[in-house]
Order: sequence, then structure tokens, then C-alpha cells
Amino acid sequence: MRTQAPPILSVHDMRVGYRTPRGVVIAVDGVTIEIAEGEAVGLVGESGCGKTTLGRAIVGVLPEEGFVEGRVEIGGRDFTALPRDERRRMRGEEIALVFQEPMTRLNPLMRVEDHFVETIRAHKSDVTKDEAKRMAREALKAMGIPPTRVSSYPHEFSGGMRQRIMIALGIVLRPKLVIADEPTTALDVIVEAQILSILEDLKDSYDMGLLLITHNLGIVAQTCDRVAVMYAGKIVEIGDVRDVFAEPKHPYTQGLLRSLIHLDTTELSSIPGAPPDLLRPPPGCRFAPRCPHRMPVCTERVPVLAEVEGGQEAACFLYPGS
Amino acid sequence: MTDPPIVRVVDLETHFMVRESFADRLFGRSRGVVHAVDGVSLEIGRGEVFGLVGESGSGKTTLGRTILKLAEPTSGRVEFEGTDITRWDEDAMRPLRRKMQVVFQDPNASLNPAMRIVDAVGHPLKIHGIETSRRGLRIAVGDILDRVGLSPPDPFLDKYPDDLSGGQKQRVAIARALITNPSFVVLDEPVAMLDMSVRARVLELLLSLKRDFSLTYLFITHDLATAKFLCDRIAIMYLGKVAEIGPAAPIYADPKHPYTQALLGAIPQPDPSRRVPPTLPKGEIPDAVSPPAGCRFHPRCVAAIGTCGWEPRDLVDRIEDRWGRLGLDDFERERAVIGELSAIRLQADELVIVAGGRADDAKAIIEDVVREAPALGGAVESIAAASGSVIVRFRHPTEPPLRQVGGRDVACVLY
Repeated sequence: MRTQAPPILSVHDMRVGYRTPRGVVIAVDGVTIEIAEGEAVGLVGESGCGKTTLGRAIVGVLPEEGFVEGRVEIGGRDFTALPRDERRRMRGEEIALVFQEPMTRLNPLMRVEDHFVETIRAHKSDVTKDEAKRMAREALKAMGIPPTRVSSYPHEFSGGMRQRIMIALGIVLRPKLVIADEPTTALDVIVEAQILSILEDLKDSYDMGLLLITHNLGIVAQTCDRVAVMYAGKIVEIGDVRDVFAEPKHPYTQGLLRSLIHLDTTELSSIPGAPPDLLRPPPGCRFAPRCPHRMPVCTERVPVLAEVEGGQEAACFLYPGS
Repeated sequence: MTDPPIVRVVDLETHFMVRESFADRLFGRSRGVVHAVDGVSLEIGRGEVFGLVGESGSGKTTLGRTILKLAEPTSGRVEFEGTDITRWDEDAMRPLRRKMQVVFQDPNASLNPAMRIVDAVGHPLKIHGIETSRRGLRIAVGDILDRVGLSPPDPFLDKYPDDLSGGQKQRVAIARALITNPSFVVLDEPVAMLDMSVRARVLELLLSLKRDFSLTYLFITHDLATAKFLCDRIAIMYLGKVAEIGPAAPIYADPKHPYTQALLGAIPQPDPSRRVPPTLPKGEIPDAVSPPAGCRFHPRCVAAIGTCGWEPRDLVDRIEDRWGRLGLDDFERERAVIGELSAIRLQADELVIVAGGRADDAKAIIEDVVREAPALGGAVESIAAASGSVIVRFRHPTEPPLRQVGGRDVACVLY
């Protein structure tokens, strides 16, 4: 599937750093990833692995002290080289962002409907106010927000409803790519499932590409086509979800999947140690200090992603090509 | 359970007055009383891991805090080791605090960042006058740090919380809870903030400490998978009440309450052949200020029937649902007949829509709504149009009691 459709998103050799008082932290270090139209890719990893930074860097919304190298193509255009105004236009029309806490993105003093009118008319100045309101109602209705609530204020909604509103707002202009960063982490499990099924429907009905950033492997298994596993700023494994969950190749993926506690868990497992300090990452493979399969080469050279089998790639010296 | 329970809770209620926000005062809203825990009875046997499972807003944390007397019970009874402590004040509780301890979710919030580890962990010993000498404290704290896996302990003693990782901080919080040699520990989401790869290590530690120190745990969590692994018995809570309670094994093997079934079905599993379940409860856990009548889960339940406790405001929600499905033109037409939903008058078992000359149109719409919601329809006694109003009468709702079904207790009219 990913080879036929042209990629809606193509990230090539991206490096993202932050200047901190203690020095420069490279939070994302040489990441390459593509997403096809209608494809959902899960980006998973634990706190501090760089997954959120990567998502923000792709759409160019990093804090001041961040810097980005590498190439991002959205719909075939070099996004990083575009003027600021054009990038702003594309955020909304071609890319939607959905974050964990919708309240930080909604203006508490603005009626829900007016958020839509503002967004729509900022991008499409020829749309009348009434037409924009109609579009808002349709978009909200598709997310299960009844028309009786469109002129309420954000605080009058529950957490799950706010997230639905955020998604409706993100997709009202029919973008081709949605980047969702922990969109359900603040929600309870039933509401989480409601939101995930909405994202799935959207992907299928509008052929949207979806980058789902999460720490929750279960969510990725159930909603994504492919999964990329990040560790200490690098993608260590990427492949079809069925392959990666059935037979993880990278020792980190293996350890992470084993440590998951799910309904069929019969014994506990964990990965010894802790992720490295990215101010001074260890030489070679960054997982080597915690790896049960560590070899001398692992601390001498940096492994690169290479195909292990059937499109499943891992960055690990256990496999030829790394 | 032949031994007497270590904790017994009988018909416990913990209600809070809602503190009104500035906006509430500005708009003259009164927020009322939160029914956080609303009639819970349970027993925790010595040596058990008892799981209190529920979503946010279920009252699980408040119940845990009430058992510890960190929240004041409104009515009912709390017994600890056979003694009724319901009305004990803080002075009376102080000696008991050695024996009942708590570990919270967020070690960053429960550890003072300006306090060295030796002082933080040794603090309870000082308070209870068990050990006051500097040297004695260092030895005692060193011992307990060693037991929680922070070994060798010496390098940790003079560190500050910020010098430690999340997993290490939670171990410090566990050490502080155990240093007084308690018999009962409330664990409130103790691993929820930790990364997956270290969670298991903390859970293993908790299990081994339980054996070594002969502890009883009340494990409070939203995570059914972890509860399944850890707990001997569980109670599933929803909006201040117990929906299902009993030994963990039969509940997980064959959940009876539709809420338990929904929760278990919604947990994302690391299995790509499973998809998000097609039928999910609608909406979210409602406000505990005015919980639904009857079974509190009924407005969201996919298995609901006529006797679940339907009430007039449920009909208003169904009208709103219908309007959400209709095209915008049909919606506007029906709203012109029914009027604003906020203008619908709700009485005890009765709903009144003032529709003026269009009462018959309004009645027809309401009949459609009721037809579309057969479970709710089962509770409607009559729909009548008279002198410009539509009056819908409901059967009086009753609350399902806990009944024994298949080796556990379930509060659901289906059984």
C-alpha cells in the first residue's frame, strides 16, 4: 500500500535540537519516514524519546530554542523551504494538528461555532459567515456534537467532546494529513475508543494520512497500518503493525512489547536501566547499555535502519545491513 | 476469608460541597453537592490485594481517601481492624496512621523537592516518635531504601527528589509509606505516571514487599489490565457506586455488568487483529452533582431496558441526539416546534413541553423520539397533548441492588 500511493508526508533525515542551559540536546537525530494517503502510521516510544518533538518539527511549530535540519515534503512540496505565510496556510488546509489537551487550543471566550468561522474565513475569504456556520455545524455533527450545542463555550463541554471539537476544527478544511499527538491520553478508556474510531473513520472516508504519536502500543496495534518505534531520538524499528507486533526485530521493541501489561499478561517483564541522557548519548547504538544482545560492535558503530524482512526495518547489528 | 477483614466499609457516603468558581458566582449558578462516594459496602481481607477500578469521576480515589480518613465520610461506617473509626478525629487517628499508609500517583507532588531523601523518608518515624536521632534515622532510612531496591542506599540518602528518575522517586514514596511498618497500604495509581518499560519493575517490587511485610493493599486504578494481574478481588466503580464486585478471576473471565463489559472491551490490546469495538457506550461519565436515577450507567448502556431508571432528562438528551442526526433543515423545523431544550420543564417523573398551538406536532415528534429509543420508551407511561403542552409521564425509577450472580455481586436489572 505504501509503495503505490504517493506519500502525503515525506520526512528525510530530520534532526531537531534544543539549546538548553546545559548544552545542545539533539532530540530527533536523523529520522526518515513517509506516510501515504489513507495510511495511519503510529509513532511510539516512551517519554523523552523525541516523538512529540518530531511531530512538532514536521509542521514547524517548535519552541524558540529549537532548530531543525532535514527535509519535510507535504503533498510533494518542500514544506521547510516555504515562506512563513504559506506554511501557515498549509496548516489547516493541508495538515491538521490534534493535541492531547484541547483546552489549550480552544479560546475560552469564543463560542465553539466561532472558532470554525474564524478558521474557515482565514483560509477561504470568499466563504460567507452563514456558509461558514453551516460548514461548522456539518463538521461538528460528523463528530457527534449536536447542533443545539454549537453556540456553547469550550468550558461547557466534557473532555471527550472538546477533543471531538478539536478534531472537527482540524478537519473542517479537509486536510490530507492529520498529526495527532497523544490525542486520547487525557481521556478514559471508553471515550478513548470513541475518539479512535472517529479517527479511523476519517482516515477511511477522506483518504487522510494519519501520524498518531502515542506511548500506547495497544492503540497503535488497533488503529494503525504501520508503526515506527523511537528510542532516544532515533527510529529503531519500522514496519507493518502485524509484522512488528507478531515478530519485533529490534531488542528495544521486543523489550517494550514484553513489558506491556495487557489482559493476557501472565508474567511481568521490564527493560533494565533507563534511557540515556541526550546531552551525552552513549557511543554506537543508544540502546546498547540496556540491551540483552549487546556485542562489541554495538558501542563502536551506529546502526542504521535496514530491511530485515518483508518491509520490516530495524537499526540493529543482529541483522545484516545495519 | 475466615479471618476478620482488615477494612470494612458499610453504606459509605462521601459528599462534597462544590466550591463555586468565579464564573459560577458571576452567573449566579449554584453547583450543589458532589456524590463522590454514594453508598458503598465492601470488605478487604488481611493479605489481600483489593482492586478499586473505575474511570475518572468514579469516586475510587475519594473512597480510598475516606477509608484512610483523609476525607470525611458523610454517612455510613469505616472499620479498621475491627474498630469503628468513622467519627475519629485527626488526634485519634494519628497513632493509626502508622498502620495505614498511602502511595500516590505522582511522586513529584508527594515528595517535597527541597527535602533530602533521608529527611523525606524518615519524616514519618520522627512524627510518630519511633526514631528521632540523626544516626538512627539514617540507618532506618538506609534499610528501607535497600528494601525498595535503591541499593546501595548510601548515595541516595542525601540526594533530592529531582536527582532521581521517575521510577526511583516512586520507590522513595513507597519507602516512606513502609518505614512505619504498616499493615494496610492504599496504592492510588502507583505506576500510572511511569513509562511502560519500568512499570513492571515497580509492580514486582510492590508484590514482593507485600509478601515480606505481610501487607494488605487497596490498589486504586483505571487500568483493568494491571488490576487483573495484581488483584485477588476487585470492585468496579461507576459514579460513586459499585457496579460489580467479587473475586477477580470470574469477573475477568465473564464480566456481567454491561459497564464492566464495555470497559474490558475498550482496552486497547497489542494485537493488530483486534479493532476498536463497534458498539461503545455513548457519551461520557456524567457530573456527580446530579447523577442519573436508577442504575447510574443507564443513559450510556448499550444493553439498557425499560426498568433501568429512565427519567425525564434522558428524553431531553434523546431529542438532542435525534437533532444531531437530522439534516439541518429538519432540525430547525423540529426546534421551531419543540423550542429550546433548556425551556423544557422537568418535574419528578414528568416532562412538560409548552408548544402553544403546535402541541400536536410536538407530541408527534416526541412519539418519534420515544420510538427511536425503545429502552427509554419502556419507561414512558403516557404522552399527552393538552392545553398547548405536551406532558410525558415516566414510571418512577428504582435503583438495582447488588445481587449475587456467578460468584460475584452485580448491580444490574438484567440479573
